[in-house]
Amino acid sequence: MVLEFYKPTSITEAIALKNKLGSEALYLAGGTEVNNLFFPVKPKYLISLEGIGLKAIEETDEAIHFGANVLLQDLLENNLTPDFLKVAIKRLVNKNIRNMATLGGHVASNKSCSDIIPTLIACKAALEVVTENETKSILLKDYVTHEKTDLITKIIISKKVLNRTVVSNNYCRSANDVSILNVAISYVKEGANIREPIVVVGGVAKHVICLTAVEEALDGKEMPVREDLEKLVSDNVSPITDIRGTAAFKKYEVGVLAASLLFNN
Amino acid sequence: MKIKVTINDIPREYYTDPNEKVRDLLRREAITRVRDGCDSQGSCGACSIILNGKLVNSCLLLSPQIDGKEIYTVEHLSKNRELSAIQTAFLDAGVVQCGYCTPAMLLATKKLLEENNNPTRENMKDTFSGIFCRCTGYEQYFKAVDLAKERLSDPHYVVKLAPEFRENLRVVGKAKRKVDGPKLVRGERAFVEDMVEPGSCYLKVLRSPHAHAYIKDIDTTEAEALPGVVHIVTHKNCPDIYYNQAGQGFPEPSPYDRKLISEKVRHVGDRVAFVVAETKKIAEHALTKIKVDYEILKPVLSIDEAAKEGAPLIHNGNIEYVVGAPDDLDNSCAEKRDGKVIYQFPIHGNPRKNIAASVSGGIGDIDVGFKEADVIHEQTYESTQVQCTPVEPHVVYTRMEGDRLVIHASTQVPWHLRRICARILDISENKIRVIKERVGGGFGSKQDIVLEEVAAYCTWVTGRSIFFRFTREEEFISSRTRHPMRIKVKLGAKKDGKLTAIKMDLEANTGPYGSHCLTVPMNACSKSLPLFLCDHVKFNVTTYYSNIPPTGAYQGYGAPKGSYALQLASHELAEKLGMDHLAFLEKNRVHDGSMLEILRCLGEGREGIPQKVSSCGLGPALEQGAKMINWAAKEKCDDPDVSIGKGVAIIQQGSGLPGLDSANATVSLLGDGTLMLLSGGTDLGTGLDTLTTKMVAEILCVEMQNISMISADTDVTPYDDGAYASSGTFFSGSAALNAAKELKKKILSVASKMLEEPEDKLAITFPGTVQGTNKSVSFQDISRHTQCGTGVGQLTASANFTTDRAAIPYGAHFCQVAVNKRTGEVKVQKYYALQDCGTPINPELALGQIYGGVLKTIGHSLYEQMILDENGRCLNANLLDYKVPMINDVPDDFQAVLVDTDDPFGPFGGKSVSEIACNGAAPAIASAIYNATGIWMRTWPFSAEKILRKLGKI
Repeated sequence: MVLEFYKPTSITEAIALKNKLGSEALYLAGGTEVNNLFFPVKPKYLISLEGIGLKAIEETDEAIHFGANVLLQDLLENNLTPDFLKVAIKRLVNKNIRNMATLGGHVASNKSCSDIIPTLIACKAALEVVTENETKSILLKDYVTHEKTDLITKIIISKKVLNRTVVSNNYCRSANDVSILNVAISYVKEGANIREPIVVVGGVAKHVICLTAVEEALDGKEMPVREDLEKLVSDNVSPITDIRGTAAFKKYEVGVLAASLLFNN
Repeated sequence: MKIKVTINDIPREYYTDPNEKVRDLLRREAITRVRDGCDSQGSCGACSIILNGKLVNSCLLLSPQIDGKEIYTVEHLSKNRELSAIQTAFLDAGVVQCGYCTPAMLLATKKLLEENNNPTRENMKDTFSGIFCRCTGYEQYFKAVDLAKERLSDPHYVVKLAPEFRENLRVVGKAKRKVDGPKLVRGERAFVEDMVEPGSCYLKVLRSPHAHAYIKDIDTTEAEALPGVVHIVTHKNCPDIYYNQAGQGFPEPSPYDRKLISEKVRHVGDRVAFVVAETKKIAEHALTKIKVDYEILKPVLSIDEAAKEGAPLIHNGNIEYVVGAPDDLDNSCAEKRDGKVIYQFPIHGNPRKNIAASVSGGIGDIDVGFKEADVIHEQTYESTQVQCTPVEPHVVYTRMEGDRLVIHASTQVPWHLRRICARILDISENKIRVIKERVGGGFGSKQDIVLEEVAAYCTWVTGRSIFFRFTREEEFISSRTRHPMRIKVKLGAKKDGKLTAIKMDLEANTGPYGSHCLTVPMNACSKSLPLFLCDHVKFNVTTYYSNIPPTGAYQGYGAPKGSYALQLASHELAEKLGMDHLAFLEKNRVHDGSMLEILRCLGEGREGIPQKVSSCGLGPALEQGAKMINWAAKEKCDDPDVSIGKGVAIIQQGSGLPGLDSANATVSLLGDGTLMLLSGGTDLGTGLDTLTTKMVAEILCVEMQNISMISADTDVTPYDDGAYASSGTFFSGSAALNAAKELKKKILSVASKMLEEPEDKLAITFPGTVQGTNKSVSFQDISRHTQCGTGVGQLTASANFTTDRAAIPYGAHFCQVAVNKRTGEVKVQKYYALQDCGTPINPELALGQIYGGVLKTIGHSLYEQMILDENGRCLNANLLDYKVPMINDVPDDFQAVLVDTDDPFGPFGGKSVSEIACNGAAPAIASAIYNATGIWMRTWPFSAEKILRKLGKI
C-alpha cells in the first residue's frame, strides 16, 4: 500500500528522500517491475526517478554512457547502442514493456532471467551509483552478486570492449516468454583460439553468474570439441527444478546454448 | 493527490490515490476503452494507451506517473461518428472478432503508421508484440495494417482481402463489415464491465487452499462486522439445491453434483464463502477475516489415482436418479457431508469408484476386424490440462428491476443461464432477464455458469446490484479447462493399407465436478472416428472425478484430443505398413455420400442419428494442401542440428447437434420498409450477428444496413440453445433464414392483394420491392398498408430451426516444422489449414476463425500446460508463466484456405468453421516432428525437454 508518492527533481533530492524514508521506500523507474502484480515487496513510499534526468546516451573518447532512465526502446533506436546490446534488448519481445522499462530499472531488478544483464556483464559494463556521500563506479558483475539499493545513475560500456566479439543466446518456450536460460559470451578472437573469454549465464542461479572455470578452461587454449564444451558449461551450473524445466534439462540446455555461441559465430 | 493530465487533447484534473493504476483511473472516469486481461501483470496489453507518444500498459502505471502528461485512447481515432482509416481497415480485414483487444490493436497501428509509412511484417510484429489476442491468430492484422496504410492516403482505397463465394448471392459469401464492428472499433460501451452503475456492490469469493477437504467450521463474524460488508454466504446459509454448471440442453447429460457452496471442497480454488461489499477493497479485506477450519483429505489428481482400488472418493454422498435409477443403487455408505450426485438419466457413472460417466459402443465386430488385419498398431496418447484464456475473464453484473432479476452476462448460453439461475433461486424463469453483452472471448469456457449464479443469488437476496469479475488466477483455477485425457488407440489394417478395425479406449479426468463429463470425452470419439471408413469400430469411454481444477468445454470440445490420438496413430500405422501417411489417409477417409453408421452409438446420452455425408471437401483439401507444402519433397536446413519435417491431419467437427439443438428468430417489417431481426443466437465475436443479418438481407433483398438486429436477450429475442457445438451457422443461421422466408410469404401475400396478382407471379427484388408482372410495390408501401387502421397489422414472422440432419465440416491441415535436435526446440515454419465450411457466409471472418483456432492449438501442442503440484495447486495460474501464443509465435508462412463445398442442408450451403480449426495442430505437428526426427510425441505439449528426452539427450 503506497502511502506517499514522491517526485524529486534531482539526484540529491532522491537520495535524501531514500535515506529519510529508509527500507520502506523504493525507487520507481518505469514501473514494469515495481507496479507488477507479482512484485514481492509492497512499499509504503515510492520515489519516482522520472524527474531527475538521466535520460541521455552520450559517448566520450573512452566509453558510452547510458543514463539509467533511458527507456529500453530508446536504446534500440539510438545509434550509440552497440548492436550486441540491441540483440539482447530485443529478446524482451514485448514492445509495450520496452516502451516503459528503463535500463537502470532493469539492471536494479537484478533478475536471474534478465535478457540484458548477461550481455552487459559480458561486455564488462560498469555502473555509476550514487550514495549520499559519494559517486562511485562498480562493475555490474560485482553489483549483481550483492543486494544493493544504491541509486544507479549510469551504465557504462568501455569502448575498449567494442573490439571484442560479444554474442548472446537464450532459451524460452514461446516468443513472449521470460527467458528460462540466457547465455552471453565475449572474447577476443586469436586465430583458432579465443582469449580472455567472459562466459555469463542467467536462469541457473539466484542471479546472473559468470562461469569462471569455463573461462579459464577456454582462455588462450585450443577450442574443445563442441560436446566437451557443452559438458564443461553444464558441469559448472547448478540450476533448480521448477515449473519451467527440470534441473537436468537446464544443465543440458545451457551447455548447448553456450557452445552454439562459440561454434555458430 | 491531484494530478493534471491531457486526455485526447482535453486537459483534465483528477483526485487520485497514489496506488490507483492508470487503467483504473481511466475506467473510473468513464474512459472504457482501456481493458484488462492480466490483472496488472503487463502481459496482455489490453489496457494499452499512448502516453507521451509511446504505447504503454496503463495497468503498470500508477496514476501519479501520468501527472503533466498527454494520453491518447482509441476515442481519439474517430471524429464524431465517422470511422478513421485504421478503424475501417480493421473491419474490412476481418480482424475484429470479440473486440476486447481491438482498442489496443488500433492504438498500436496508429503509432506504427505515424512512425513508419511503409511497415514490414517484422515492424508489425514488433508493434503488436505486447498485445494478446486469443481470437484471430494475428495473421490478418498484417493485411489490416497494409490496408490502413493505403487508406490514410486514399480514403476510398478498396482491396479484396478474402475470397468471395456464390456469384448469385449479394451478401452471403461476400466480405461485409461486421454489424457490431463499428461499436467495437470505437471502443463504445459494449462489455459487461461497461454496464456497471455507480453504487454497485462488489463480490469476492473466499476459495479453498486445499484440493480435497471438509469444512469443519467457518466463522464469518469478524468479516460481517466490517463496515461496508453487505452480505456473506457460506455452505451454512446457501440454498440446498444441486445443479450442474454445464450450459447444456435440459435434461443435461451431466450430473447435478454441486451446490452454490458445498460442505466439502474438491479443488484448490473451490468456493468457501461469498462476500458482497460496498467496494472491492472492503470485499477483499473481509475475505481475510473469515476463519475456516478444514479437515484435509488426500487429493486425487490423476486418472490412475482416481481409478485405484480404495482411492479417496470425490463424491461419496447420496446418488440419485431423476429417471432410470439402476436396481443395484446403494446409498448405505453415503457420507452426508459429501452432499448428493443427481443424474438426470443414466450416463453410466459410479461415483463410488470416482467414475462420473462412461459409455461404450461400436459397429461391426472388433475381434473380426483385428483378425482380418495384417498389421496392428496399438499405442497410448495423452493430453494435459490447458485453459481457454479469453482476454476478458468471466464477468457478470446483476441488478434488480422491480421484482425481476436482470443479469448482464458474458455468456455463450443465455437461456441455459436463466434456467439454471431460476432453479438455484427457486423462482420462475419469467422473473429473470439475461442480457448477453458483447463477449470478450468465450472459447467454450463461457458455456458454463461459473460465476453468474453466485452474483444472481446474492442480488436476489440483498436486492443490491453486484459486479463480479474473475481474476486471471480464478480464470485458471475456477472456470473451465480442457479435460486431460489418455487415449489408447488400436488399429488394424490390411497390407494395402485398408483399415479393418479401430478401437479407442479413452479415459478422461473431469476434475471435481461433472460438467460435460460424458459429452466432451464422447466427442473425442464422435469427431474423430467417422473420418475413417471402417467396418469394425469400438470405443470405450470412462470419465473420472478428481481434485484438479474444473474442466469443461473448450473450443473443439473433445475433438482435439481424439483427433490427436487417432490421426497420430494412423501415421504410426502407415509407417508400419511402409506407406506414405497422406496415401493412407486418402485410402481410408470419408467421402461425399459415405454413410456414417457409427454416429448411431455416439449420441449425447441417447441414441444418435446415423448420417449420410452431405458434402465433404476433404479430397480437394488434401490435394491442394499437398501441393502447397510440396508434400513429396524432403526439405533440408543448412544447420546440421536442424531437421525439417512435414505432417498432415484430416479433421472434422459438427454443425450443432441434430435432434438436440434448437434455434429461433423473428423478423419484423418496420414502417419505412426496413427490418428488425431478433435472433436468439449468441455471437461471441464470431460474426454470428452478421451472419443472421445476411440471411435476412439475402432472402428479403434489402441492404444489410436496412436491417437492425438484437440478439441473445431473453426478454426480447426468442429462444436459442446457445453458442456451442459449432451450432451458430447451421442452427441460429437457419432460424433467421426460416424467419425471413416466413416473412417473405407474408409480404407476398399482402403484395398480391395490393397488386391484384397471384403470389406465384410475384417476386421480391432488390431493394425491398415486390415485383409483379407490370407493377411493383415497395416494402415501405406494404408496411404502411398493413400498419394503417384498416390493415392486417405489422408483418412479423417467427421461425424455428431443428433438424435431424448434420452438415459436417471437414478439413486437412498441413505443417512444416524445423526441429533443432540439439536444443529440442520446434519451430512451426509453415502451417496450411484447408477447411471446408460449406459456403463461407462471412469469408473474411471465417478465415479469422481458422487462424485463431489453429494458433491456439499450436500453443497447446508446443507449450501451453497447467502445472499442478502434488497438492493440486496450479503453479502457473497467470499469463506470465502459462504461455499463450503472441504475434511473434505465428508461423512464418500461415495460410487458411476456404475449400468450396455447398452443403444441401446448411443455410445457403453453410457449415460451421471455428471449432474444427482446433483439431489439426497437435497431430499434424507431432507427425511433422516424427518426419523430422524419427521420434513419436505421444503426449502434448511437445516441449523441448520432452523432445530431448525422446532423443536420448537428457
